[in-house]
Amino acid sequence: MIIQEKDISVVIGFKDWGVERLLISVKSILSSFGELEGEVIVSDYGSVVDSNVKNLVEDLGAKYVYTETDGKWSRSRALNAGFAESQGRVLVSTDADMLFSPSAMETIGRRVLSDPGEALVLQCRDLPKKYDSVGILAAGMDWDAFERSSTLRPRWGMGGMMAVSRATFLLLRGFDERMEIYGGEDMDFAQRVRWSGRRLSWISDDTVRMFHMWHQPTRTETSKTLEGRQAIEFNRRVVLEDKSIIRNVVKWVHKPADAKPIASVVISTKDRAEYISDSINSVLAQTVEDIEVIVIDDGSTDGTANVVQSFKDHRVKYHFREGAGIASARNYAASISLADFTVIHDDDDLMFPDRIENHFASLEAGVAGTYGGWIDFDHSTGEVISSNPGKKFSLEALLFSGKVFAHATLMVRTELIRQVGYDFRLRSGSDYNLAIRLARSGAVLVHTNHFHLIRRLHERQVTHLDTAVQKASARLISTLGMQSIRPGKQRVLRTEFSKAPGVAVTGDSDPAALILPYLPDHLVARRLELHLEKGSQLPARLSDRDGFKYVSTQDVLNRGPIEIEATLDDASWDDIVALRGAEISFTIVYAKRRADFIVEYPQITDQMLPVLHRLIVGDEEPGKGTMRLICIGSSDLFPDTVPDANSHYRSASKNESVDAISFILSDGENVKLKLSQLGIDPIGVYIELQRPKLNEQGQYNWKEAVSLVS
Amino acid sequence: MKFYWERETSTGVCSLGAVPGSYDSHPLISNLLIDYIPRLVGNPRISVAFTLAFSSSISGEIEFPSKVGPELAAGVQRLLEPTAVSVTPIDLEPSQFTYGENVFVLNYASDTQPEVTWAGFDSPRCIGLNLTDMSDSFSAQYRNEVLSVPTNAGLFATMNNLGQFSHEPFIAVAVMLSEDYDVGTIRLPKGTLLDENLRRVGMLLQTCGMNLELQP
Repeated sequence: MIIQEKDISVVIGFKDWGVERLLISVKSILSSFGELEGEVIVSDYGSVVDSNVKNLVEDLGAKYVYTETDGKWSRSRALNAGFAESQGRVLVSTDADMLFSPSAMETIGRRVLSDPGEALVLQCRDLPKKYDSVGILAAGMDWDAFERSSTLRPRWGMGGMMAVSRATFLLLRGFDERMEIYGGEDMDFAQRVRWSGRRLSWISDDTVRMFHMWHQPTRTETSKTLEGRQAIEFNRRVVLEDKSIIRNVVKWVHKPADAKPIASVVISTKDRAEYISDSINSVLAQTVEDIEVIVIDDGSTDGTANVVQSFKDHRVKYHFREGAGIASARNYAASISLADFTVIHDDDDLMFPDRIENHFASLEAGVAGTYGGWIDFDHSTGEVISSNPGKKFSLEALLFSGKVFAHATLMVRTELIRQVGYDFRLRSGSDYNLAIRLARSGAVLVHTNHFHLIRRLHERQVTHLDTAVQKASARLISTLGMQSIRPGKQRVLRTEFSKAPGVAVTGDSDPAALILPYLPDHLVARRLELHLEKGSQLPARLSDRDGFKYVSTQDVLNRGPIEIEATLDDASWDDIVALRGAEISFTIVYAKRRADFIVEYPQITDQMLPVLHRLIVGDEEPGKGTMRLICIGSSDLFPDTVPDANSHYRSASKNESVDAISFILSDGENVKLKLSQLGIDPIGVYIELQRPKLNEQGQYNWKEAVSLVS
Repeated sequence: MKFYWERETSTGVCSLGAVPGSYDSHPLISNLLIDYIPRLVGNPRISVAFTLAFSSSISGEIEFPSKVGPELAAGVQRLLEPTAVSVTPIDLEPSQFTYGENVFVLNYASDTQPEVTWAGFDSPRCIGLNLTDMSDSFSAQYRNEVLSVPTNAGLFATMNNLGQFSHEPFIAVAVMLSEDYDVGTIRLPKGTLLDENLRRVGMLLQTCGMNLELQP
């Protein structure tokens, strides 16, 4: 989407401060655009004082944007909210107490337009006390007087004005929205600008001036509160410690409409209908949502098209081509990718859910791409075949060592793929070939210190089917890559790098445990604990699922709060993707290989027991609905075989020996009668409503989820 | 920005690098690589090569590995305008620098070769300098008056200049190789048009005893 209709947009973050100062500032900026098409946006971040700001700002010809907040001021979020509504090719951030000289913004705008590789900052000049808003209004815009009486502020921070190209702002994904109050956000942004390959220049032009209108300082007030001090300290740590270039990776709340996806995940495939669902699901289950998934089908004939097209997620983009090889398919993907970064993924692998997040956390200055470790597993058993942390990337490591990195663990700048490209003449081995050529070209790739994927080993892998071709292509590029290295030096490097250690990777001590929750559905049973909140909208597929349970419990004697526990047994990758899509967070609390199942009892948690024991047995009808009846007692209370019993529960408590059985209760069935028919006399009974009904607002009514009966 | 170079890295190439200062950008491709080990390179030429290679990243202070004359420093500042830069260390004592008789005829298009002809004993000798993409070519070679040298200058130019092509990194490579081939003039590829930026590049080359020309 192209929405750049203005040359320059200036955003002022604002909340309940001096309206007069704001209006003077806006007026001065509107008068400084010269021949450029400019706009001023006042981003009001949660003002609570009704001071008619909107009308006053709009009367001047500026744009007013209001954001509802929880009361906390965040300059970062305020600026982002303003830029989200901007239309300029040059984006300028400034404050509500700055006065700009005539033509200032024209000069700034023209310079960035002519060289988008430069970001501009401007030193602030402090006006004396007599030039507060009242004094300025009384004296008029006497620029000579301002020049004579002002003092130059040192180059603290970024001065109070920063101008960047729109492309730069979008690449960095704006100011860091974690930062609250203010302090450090412009320093953080400026250093990320430089890390991203744009230089920073202080404007030294006598016609470009920025004066700070005098007012009582506010920072000392802010730093008096604990919350204020904590926020300022947090901001400081971000500036000093967070070296990642791109922020708001998991969620960019105030995202402009023309922002591209953060990453293009590229899957090249051929005749992998059996595996590709898992591969795509593992991408859609990422913690990072703002992606596109480009599937290039290199001439499949096995129904891969139907499988991929069955995904109704708009992020999945399917492209069929006549078979031309994986290298050609990947080059084509790079030519159509929207994002600045390409995540390579294979059609038979599964990513860990935080893979893309980890890529960006390690993307620092001068880094062209990031990669991680990988774990090979047996497709038929789920056993770990090998755990591969990977090694430090370099041309020497690639030439003289093994298992440096797996191509499918890589995220790299899309432009780099376009420039260097896969060698389309190679049927296989084009990934190693690209790695050598990237290293030789001076591209720096760094390890994220995380595992990125689990790699399915099966009989139809390219490595198995095309081993000879792969080896031959590797030999060719290795030979060429060593051409410039003297033979004696080659011997030294071979000795040195053959012993190169693997990178330390989180989870390397127990790879089997690490991969277990993320194996394909046929290998593992998982239970998810859903973190539901009031108003959570469950995906339709889950409320109909057999394994979905939720319990809303309340200590009715003591009128305690309603507590919701929701779990999903035997959760599939489809379920996980559905939850991500509904923005419902979850934890995989349990995962077990199906091969290890003998008899498995879901457990009643310790937290549930006190509530269950306090259940009062009454005469109430349970009402309509499909219900699960859970009878609690010691095991000897239950007959050996209970008709329809579909699961047994065993208490997790160490001190109490409590067992339970459960079975489905038909609609409207009388519980007392049912228990009598079964010959059960439990010490407690409770019922879960399997499918809560939607209320008039289309939300589930959790209060109806449980009934107490006798 | 503080510059450094390695005549021969462990992988057998020549590398020019830079440590960014407070306002410089961090290049996405950090080192200009040349698959050739230069034998002779004088300090003024290295300083000019550094400036040309990293011109799109510099802002603020520049620190060369060795002292430069005030004319060279002024040439650097002129090239980088309107970005304000200060150059160190400056040597106010006059010093000699190397001149060259020959001409490098540059080519960096993958599908063409530099056109070189011998114009007789009284004319400068023209040597074609074919700068090839390092990701697809390996080892330097000299044949029929054409020196082919793999370099990452093309990638360096586009990746470090927001996708925009720039001649400067290629000219920097030519400067690095010039002394070995007694070259004093660099002739730009056919079809190159002189603009304000190239005019300033030419003025900078003059400060290390070299010239820049367009092909007729």
